[in-house]
Order: sequence, then C-alpha cells, then structure tokens
Amino acid sequence: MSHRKPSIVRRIFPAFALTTVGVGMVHSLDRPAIVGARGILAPMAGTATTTIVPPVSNTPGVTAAPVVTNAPAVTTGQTTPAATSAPAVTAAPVVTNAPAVPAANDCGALTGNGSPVTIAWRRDYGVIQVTAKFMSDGTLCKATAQYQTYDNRSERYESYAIPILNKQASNAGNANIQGVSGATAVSDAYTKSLQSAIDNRA
Amino acid sequence: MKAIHRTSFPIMGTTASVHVNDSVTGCEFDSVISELRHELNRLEEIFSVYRETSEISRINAGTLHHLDASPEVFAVLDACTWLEQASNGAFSIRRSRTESAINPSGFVKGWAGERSASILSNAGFKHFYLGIGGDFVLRGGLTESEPWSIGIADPRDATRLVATVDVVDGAIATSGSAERGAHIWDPRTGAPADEFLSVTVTGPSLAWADAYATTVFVMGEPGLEWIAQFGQYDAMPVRRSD
Repeated sequence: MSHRKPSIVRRIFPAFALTTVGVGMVHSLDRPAIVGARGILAPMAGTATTTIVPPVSNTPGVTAAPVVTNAPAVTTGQTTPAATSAPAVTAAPVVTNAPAVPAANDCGALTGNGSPVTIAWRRDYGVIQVTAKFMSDGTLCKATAQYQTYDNRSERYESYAIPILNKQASNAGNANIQGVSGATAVSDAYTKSLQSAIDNRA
Repeated sequence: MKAIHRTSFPIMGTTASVHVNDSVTGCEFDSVISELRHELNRLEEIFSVYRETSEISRINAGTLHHLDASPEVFAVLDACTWLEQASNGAFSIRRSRTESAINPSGFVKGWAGERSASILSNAGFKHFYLGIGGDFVLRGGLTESEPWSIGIADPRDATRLVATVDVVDGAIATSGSAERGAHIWDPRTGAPADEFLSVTVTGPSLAWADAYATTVFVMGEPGLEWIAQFGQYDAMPVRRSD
C-alpha cells in the first residue's frame, strides 16, 4: 500500500486553524458585553416633557442657572437604568398659557375654618391657619391664610409662599403653581390646615 | 364634574401630598389613597433604618443576607450599586468608604414615590401628582391643555422661588434645602457637600431624578457634565455665587 505522505502545510493547517479559533473564543470571554451592575434593571422608556422657566421677576438677585441642554444622545438601554416599577412616560406638549378659570357665582355660600398647624422642620417657624370659602356645591373658591410668625425671617413666608399657596388652593389666576420643590415645611402645614377647612365646611 | 382632590399624610419622615384633577368621586379617591398609603407604609417597614425589624436593619445587624432579602430590597441595592459605579463613588449608600452599614433611604424616597404612583395610574387617574418631601411624580398635566407648574424654592430663603418648572409627564426633585440644612455628605471624603446650595433635576423617572440630584449636589460643577450623559435628565443648580 502506498500512501502519499501529507504535505507539511496539510499537517500544520488544522492545528493553526484550531488555535486561532480557540484564542478568539478566550478573547471574547474576556470581554463581557455590558459593563456595570445593571442586573434586573430595565432600559429606560419614553421621554419627559419638562421646561424650566426663567426665574420669577420678584426674586431679585437670583438667576436660574442654565440648564444642561442638548445632552449628547446615549444608548439609554446601556447607561440609564430605570427602576423596574417605572411606568412608561409619554411625551406631551407643554402649554404655557393656561386658560382663565371661570369666576364662581356664589363663592362664600359655605365657609370652613382650618385648624392651626405649626410650620416645623427642626425648629418651629410659625403657625398657619387657613380659612376657605366654597360655592354652594362645595367647590373651594377662595382660601386665605392667617400666619403668626416666631421670628423676622419667617415673616417672608407671608410675602411670597402663602400668596402662592392661596392661589393654588383657590385655583385662581394664570400664575398657578401647584407645588414647590425644595421647601416642604410651609406647604405641608398649609395643606394640612386647608384640608381641615375643607372637612369643616358648612 | 371635574374636581380637584387632594390630601397629605406623613410618610418616611416627611409629608406626602397627592393632587388629582380627574372626575372621580370622593369615595373612589379615598379608596385609592388608602391603597397608596398602605403601599408606602409597607415600603417604609422594609427600608427604614429606624426600625429594628426592617430588612435594612437586619442586613446591617448581620441577621439577613442581602441575597435573601425581598425583591424590593434587591432592586434598590442593585440600582444603588449601579449608580455608585456610574458616579465613581459620589453616590453611595454608605456614608464613607470605611463604613459598612448601608442606608439607602436617600434613594428609597424617590423610588418609592415613583413605584407607588403607579397605583394612581392603575386606578385610572389621568391628571395627578404625588409629592414626597418636595419631590414630585407628575402625570398628565393639570388638565389636557395645562402642565403642572412647580416652583423651585430658593435654598437661601424657602419663602422665595428661583424658578418654576412646567411638567406634563415626568418628575422633579431637589437636593439641598434651606429647611433641612446641611444633610448631604460626600461619601468620598466623609465631609458635607457644600459647593452648590441646591440642585434640581427633572426627567422621566423620580427614582433617578432624585438620585441624580443628590449625586450632582455632591459632585459640584463636574456633576453638570456628568449628568449630560443621561439625555432625558436636566440639572439646575443654585450656586453660592448666584
């Protein structure tokens, strides 16, 4: 029997090819696809519609710092996790000109006096008490707050925060603010007193 | 007839407030609020570091391994670990690098707010917000044609506003506050963070807006570049020099 002896290339090629594949596989194992502890976090969905309005005019000397805009697009699925409970957020247009609320006809048909509530966080700032007027169907139409201060600094609640809260409670006017971020004590106390005024209306 | 329903109640050492602008009866509203309070109380039971029986206290006491904890604890610790890495340690659930005890309560407030707000969505409410300690989840705008309008308090004087933010669907959170004083620590140094007076972050998720606000507050100016990678989130600082 005569066999032709395999050429040197034929003998070495399989070994070379398998080695190359093996090195490739080991290399790919060394490089996980996603870096970071993403675990069970789901990719972000949707967008928020937020606009930051320039500072209000009666706040002298304070300027809202420029907002970080035109952030470079990133693959949010890899870099921005969302908690598993995060509901899908839908984009909607922001409308700035709120229509005027129709005037109430019989505002004051019912009234309610709220309980006095202490404005407190670590120390007491003062006591707030809301009086509210309602239409005959029970709808709140006007809220006013009495405010007793403990020191001079807190008096400024009267000049700014409380008028905002009155407006938001009465839902009157276009410059409507529904809440305040970063200041909780005065709005918490106001809300509690207003709620008791609503409960006591007669 | 459409009516505004609102209520507030104490939770997690602060006050939660709910504002719903939909056609629902007072009875329906009360029933959904009761479910919301129940859920927030349940989460507080799990996460409070002031309760010895909470899972966080038991993890710190060594009587519970974090891998045996509830899915909620696992989700929170997972998210916090991600953010600690993504921020190079500017965000941490440990007060300093040498500390072993964990305290995720800074993350939990926003996370719990966002998670429990789904109770309001699932109840069919379209126009509502849930605020916890001055951080808000907002849905649907005040009406179909008006956004929610939220003021940002001046950290030097909580009776004044530095800006207002209009939001239809999204979240807003502020870290650093006149009323609370210095309470954010830089876990990298163990010292209080004091470059900014406050940082407000807006974005789709309250869990992340709240956590990013704290992170940027600790990072200072570099934090404004850092947050730009998360395209849907915007930060507005109040600087000492403003």
